[in-house]
Amino acid sequence: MADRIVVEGLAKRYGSRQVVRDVSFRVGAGEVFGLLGQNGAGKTTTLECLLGLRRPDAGRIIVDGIDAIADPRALHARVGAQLQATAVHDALSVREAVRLFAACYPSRADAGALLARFGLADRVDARFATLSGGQKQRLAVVLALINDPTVVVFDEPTVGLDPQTRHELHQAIRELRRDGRSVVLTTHHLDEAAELCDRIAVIDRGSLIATGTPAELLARARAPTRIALATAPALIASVLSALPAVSAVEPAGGGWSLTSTAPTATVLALARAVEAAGVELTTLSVRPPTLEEVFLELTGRSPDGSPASATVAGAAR
Amino acid sequence: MIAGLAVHFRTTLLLAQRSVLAWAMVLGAPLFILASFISLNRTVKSYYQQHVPLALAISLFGAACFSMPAALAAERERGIWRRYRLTPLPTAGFIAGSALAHLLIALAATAVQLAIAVIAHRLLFATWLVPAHPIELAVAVLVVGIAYTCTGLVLAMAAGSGNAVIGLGLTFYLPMLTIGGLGIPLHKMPEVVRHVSCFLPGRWGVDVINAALFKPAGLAGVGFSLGALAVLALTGAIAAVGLYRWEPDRPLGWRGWLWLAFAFASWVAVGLTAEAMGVPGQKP
Repeated sequence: MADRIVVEGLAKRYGSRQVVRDVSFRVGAGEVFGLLGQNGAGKTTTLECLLGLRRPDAGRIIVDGIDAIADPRALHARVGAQLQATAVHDALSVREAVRLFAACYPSRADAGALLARFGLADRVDARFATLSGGQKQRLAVVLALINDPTVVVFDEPTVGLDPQTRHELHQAIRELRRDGRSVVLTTHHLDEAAELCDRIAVIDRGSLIATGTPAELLARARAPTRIALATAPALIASVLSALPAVSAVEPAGGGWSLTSTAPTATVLALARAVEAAGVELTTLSVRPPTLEEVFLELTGRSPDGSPASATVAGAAR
Repeated sequence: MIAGLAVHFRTTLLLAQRSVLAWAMVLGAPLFILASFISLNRTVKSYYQQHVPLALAISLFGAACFSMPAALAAERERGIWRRYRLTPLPTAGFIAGSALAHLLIALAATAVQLAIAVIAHRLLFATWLVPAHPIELAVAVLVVGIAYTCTGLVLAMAAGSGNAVIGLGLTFYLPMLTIGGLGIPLHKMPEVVRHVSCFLPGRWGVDVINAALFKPAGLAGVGFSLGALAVLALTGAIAAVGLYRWEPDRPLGWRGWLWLAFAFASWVAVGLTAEAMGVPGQKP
């Protein structure tokens, strides 16, 4: 896969605060690349540098063969972006907003087709202020694609969206990938990142601390596997905590939740213990580490900023 | 690029036409003030005529201090300037286009004011109010509009939001009405006010419009006022460029305060020069 985006050694400082330090990544054509991190981790600044909105203090950014730092105008002709705030005047209609932004680019996509694809064809005369949150977000996506870009950037695209609209946006991002466009997105939703992204970079305190496919990140994790079980009658906790590789036993949903660093050995020993105790195993499930647990392991905090201990306790409950 | 900026210009006109604030401050309030002037001076022609330049200047100043900066500040606040920066067109082009569109609206509103003043003059005094120098009047209104617009750009760039513009605009507008020569003819004011008004941009605008409307010498007799407006326009434009920030949440910062000080220093410089040249004592 040819690299369409190359970011090398990116650094940005605001006053005395180093916001982004030595960030490097590459994104290929037809690839969806996710930037994960908490608020203030440096995601948006990285995107703003990538989009030519901010001049980095150091580093190199090449997008579709264009030096983003030296020639931001040429960059903007090729890149589409949907930023956090949907930036359209309240009093403009959908048609007028599309016409305004389409006129700003040398090459244009078929606006009518885009509006139809994102379910706005019957709302073209509606003022922006009267659109629902989902419709506003879809209009922002239409405006991001109005210049038929080769690279599309989404900053927290599904914040505040209902599940249906979120699903539609996911579908649209998959279609962009199928069209061969490169997509860079930031998100707090780790399930969304795992579902959509071909590769993910975790950014923490301005630095990239891990990059890889979701599967690679999960495989790299030392986070334990969780085993949920229920028996009739119930086994006592001391039996379960004596099983090999079990590091924690907690009551959960009328049964138990075990934390294991070697799930195969634990499950085999559990089967023997259940047989020896003469009880019936009514539920058994094995859940590998999730991307959220990987994130917690890497950063010590959850993507929404809560400390690791609180989130792990929450997950155990 | 031209096509994009042209569509933006048309869109700005459209948005202004849909803005209640723009209608109120560009046409509504000045018409109300004009109506007050007509009502209060309906029996004495000379008094009536003294107030016509004031009404035209108020129309231009209201547009420059409220509708234009409020629209621009709200665009930045909502991240629209950030979105503009993502297009290949220069953001300065969008801002200049917006300012130009609002100036055009202000000039149109001023023309409406003048037409009403002329008709009222005919009805009250049975004679037409004919400008002494019609072309110079058009030039005067344009120059005053540009100078006030540049002052308004400073407001737009300094204010953090559309709402902040209203507050800041009022702190400019009200002194201009009361002691700046926009609301009351300066020759009717105490001497101290005539001195103070030299430090405010309002009086220079009234001065050049008044000259083009009624003075035999026309604009040739108000060189200082024209120069003052040119200085205020230039320094306002420079300060606005210095104050420019596209980020919705970026505070003014110490550099911003320095640019504001620069803009107001030009007011002071004009005032001190006027004092040195004995302008406050001259007959209006």
